[in-house]
Amino acid sequence: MNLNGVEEVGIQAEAAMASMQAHGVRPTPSNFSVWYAYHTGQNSDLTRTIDVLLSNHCPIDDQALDQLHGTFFKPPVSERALCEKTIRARDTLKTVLNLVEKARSDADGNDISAQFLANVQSLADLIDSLVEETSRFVGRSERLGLDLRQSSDKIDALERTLDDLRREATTDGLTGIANRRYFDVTLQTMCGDAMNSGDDLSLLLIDIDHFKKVNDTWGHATGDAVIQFVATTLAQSVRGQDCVARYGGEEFAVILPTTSIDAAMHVGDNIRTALSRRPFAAPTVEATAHTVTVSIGVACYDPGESLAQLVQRADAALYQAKKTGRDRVVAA
Amino acid sequence: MKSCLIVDDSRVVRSVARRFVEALGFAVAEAQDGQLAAAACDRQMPDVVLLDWNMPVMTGIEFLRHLRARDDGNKPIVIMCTTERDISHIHEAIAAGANEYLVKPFDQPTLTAKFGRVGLA
Repeated sequence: MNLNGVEEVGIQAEAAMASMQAHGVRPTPSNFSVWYAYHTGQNSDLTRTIDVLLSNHCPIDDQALDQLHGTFFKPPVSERALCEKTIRARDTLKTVLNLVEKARSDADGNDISAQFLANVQSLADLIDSLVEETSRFVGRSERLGLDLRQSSDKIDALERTLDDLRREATTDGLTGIANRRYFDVTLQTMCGDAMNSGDDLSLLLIDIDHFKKVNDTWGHATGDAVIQFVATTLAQSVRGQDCVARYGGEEFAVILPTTSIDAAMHVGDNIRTALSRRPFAAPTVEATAHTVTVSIGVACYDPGESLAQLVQRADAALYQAKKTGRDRVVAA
Repeated sequence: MKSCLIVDDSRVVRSVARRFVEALGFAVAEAQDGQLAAAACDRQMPDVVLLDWNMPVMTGIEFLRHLRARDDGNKPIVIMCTTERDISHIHEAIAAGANEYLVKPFDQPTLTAKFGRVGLA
């Protein structure tokens, strides 16, 4: 390569930045150091780890990036540990010095040259000054430790905020149930478990009937209320282990682990019944009498098929439910 | 004919993987845990091992370390095949000598692509 070192680094850094952007990685300093190393391939284990994540469609989110940084960019040995090491060295040398002093007095200084003793003494002086210097470091570190303790409350608060953000990132704002992103990750986890255990796993795709008409007739506020009403009913109609998510618009998805297709059809029917029995409290008087119905497509995971195929089969069944009159459950 | 040893305690995973791997033209042998896999390697060292992580008796990572410590243990290509998909697991597997890493659940195109990345498909 004809470029000089600085130019080369600049070009690599720019390319790494572009690649970060392409993969949706936030441009923080620690993320950049991870991505720069990945892009240049200077750390083959790091490169291979990220390649595994990308080739398996695993999300490279902030959590993953923090972990990458922690794994491949280890912090330097702490000042404190360094000081302790120096002090240990001094103690060892003092012991040696005492032994030498003793030997000299025992032998009346005949066997040990004055030059050697001078060398030992100057080494001892050097170590003493080093210890003095590092002790000042220790004092500073301890004061710093106090500051850290004082700011630990702030860090706790920050962590709570981060937890909230993480929850927010997986929750649908309108309904409070899981969002599409959480659904995608959960479907992968649960299908992986189903593949391992050999247990059935079923998926319901649920679409509100005539939703466009609701919106057009009574407006978006009523439309939103209908979506919330269905979300609440769904959440109350499933077991704790099941995952209810807003799939998009007026469409919902329910993942039912350890559930056969027949049992899933039953769950679908229960949802229909629950919707017909629950009063729908509309924000406008005219809409109160409106009954909310849904169409449901059901598919059971076939180990070895792609998750896209599973969703596609449930979607085709949902389409059949719509086509054959709505307010019904159809199996793929 | 190249040989593939599928190591997994799940009957479903073994049968699905066998179907996909045989379609790539491999002769397939199966083992239900790391210890049985080690015994299978004693009999005949496979060209590739598709290796689960969490298994009773001897886990996949234990088997991998055991394999790579053998005189003839560097020959087989090892593809981890597991639901574990966090960075510490991936890093540990690579450090222990895994060549590729396939996350469960897998489908035929994904498995085939993984075999392709290590020059086997």
